[in-house]
Amino acid sequence: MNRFSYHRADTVEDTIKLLSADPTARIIAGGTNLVDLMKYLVETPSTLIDVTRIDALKGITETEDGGLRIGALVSNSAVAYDERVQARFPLLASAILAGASPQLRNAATTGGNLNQRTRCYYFNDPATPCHKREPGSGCSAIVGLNRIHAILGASDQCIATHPSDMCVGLAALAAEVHVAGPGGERVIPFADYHRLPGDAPQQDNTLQQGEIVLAVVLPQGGQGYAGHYSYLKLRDRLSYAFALVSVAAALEMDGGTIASARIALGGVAHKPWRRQEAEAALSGRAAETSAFAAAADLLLEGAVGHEHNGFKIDLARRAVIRALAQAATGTPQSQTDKRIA
Amino acid sequence: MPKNETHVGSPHSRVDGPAKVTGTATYAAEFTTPDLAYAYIVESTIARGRITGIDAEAAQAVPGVIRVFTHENRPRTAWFSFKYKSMVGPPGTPFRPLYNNEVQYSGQPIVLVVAESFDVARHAASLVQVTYEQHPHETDLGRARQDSYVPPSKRLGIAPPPKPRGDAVKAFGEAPVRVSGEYTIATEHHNPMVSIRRRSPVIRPWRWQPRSCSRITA
Repeated sequence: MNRFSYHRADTVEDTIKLLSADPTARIIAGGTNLVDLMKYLVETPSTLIDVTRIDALKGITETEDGGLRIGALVSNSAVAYDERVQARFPLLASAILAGASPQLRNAATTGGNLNQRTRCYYFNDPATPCHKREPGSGCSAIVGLNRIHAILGASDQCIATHPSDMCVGLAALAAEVHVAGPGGERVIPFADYHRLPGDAPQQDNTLQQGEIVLAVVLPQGGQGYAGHYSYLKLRDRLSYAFALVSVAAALEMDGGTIASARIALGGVAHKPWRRQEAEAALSGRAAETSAFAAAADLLLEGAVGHEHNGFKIDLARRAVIRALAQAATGTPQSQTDKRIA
Repeated sequence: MPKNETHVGSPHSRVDGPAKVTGTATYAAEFTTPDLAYAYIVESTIARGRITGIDAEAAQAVPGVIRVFTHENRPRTAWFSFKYKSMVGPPGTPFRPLYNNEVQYSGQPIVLVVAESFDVARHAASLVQVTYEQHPHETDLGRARQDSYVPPSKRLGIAPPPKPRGDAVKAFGEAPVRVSGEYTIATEHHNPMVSIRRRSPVIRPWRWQPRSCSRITA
């Protein structure tokens, strides 16, 4: 760990000022990822800006149009066990409970979950080349161990995945990310918040210098999916592991017919993976395997495996079909009894 | 609880479970004693080769650092192989930390920074600069399988495995129905919750000081 200074911010404005002045400053809240990265010398911030005292970032509140606003500091546990979230956006609660451990979820925050870094082995090991950690140094994963890496949207510079479960749920629910920076506040659609690596894998998301996440807003429209959803996470062991493949599936049903669908994949790309064509293909179709398989094929179009992760393509296809079947029958994957139904 | 409950196949709580998950348990590294020193290990960043230089000047200059140990300045350690081996250890020459400039694996301990606090030791360890002469390596077990080591079937003090009964290969070959596939299981490590590696005042006692297990004190 390097030597750093510590600043406790009282306001959002205070934070923005400090962040804008020093590109090597980092915001700290739960610290469940950042502190580890500092121990590995992956992150060597000059200053830590502790935002945990800022009231404006706290609490879950109703929005005017019937959605929910989740403050950036609200813990993952508080979101997952909030009665309004459980009743109206159970897919999000389920996705959160599929991740990490109770202790981590108690400490980890909503904003921090969005901004956590990849668990790519090489990103986390400063002794190896990594374009994301050190632009221009190379990618060890493309020629190395890549079992956990991306099959969609990767570039020749980076095949890392975004590790979050929560974000896969948020992507499917078409959440909005509210941010503030030197230029004022703005709203980023969830699909545009995280980015693909391209030739700038060091940028995980579209936050600009000096910007801070204020809140995540769940639009009212996501509530239509509360009856038919599932978050299916497949991993090397049933607990405390990152997804090899995860699926957030949500359907609006009209009898046995699908009125509309949302599908997002985790563990397969640099961001939660959604594709309009795949979702549109389900509209008006009967909820049956052939429709689910067609949607899975569209969602996975262009998937490319590397030496060790080719299995993910077929695994993802089957996981999409299974999650959609779970959603259609209103029997979501349990995150406590983790056996896959 | 039914009276005929069996211990096999039914979940049981560890007696120390609540203390450990609530953070109240005292871990090995959390015990303290006067004049305790702390160590942090610098690991090799190549898989195979030789250390050509270790610049520990900056680490040694950090206030609170007691000593930076390398293969060049370590204290005298046991010479004979058997001093490093357990009775049931596999054949071969055991690994000895800080023994010489040879790097046998990635992550091999090559420098030990001893300081008055853990944080100082860890920070100073990050300042140690090591240069290597890198040799080719093979870390893919699948690829190296052809050249894998065949252990001797008879070993002193260890009963040989029982002789196989029947002929499994033949029986499989003649079976009317065969199901075959390749299954890969995930890596599993036995990681004790109380790890005394790395974040501990006890420095790998089973390797560093095989017989004494004592802490290094300043």
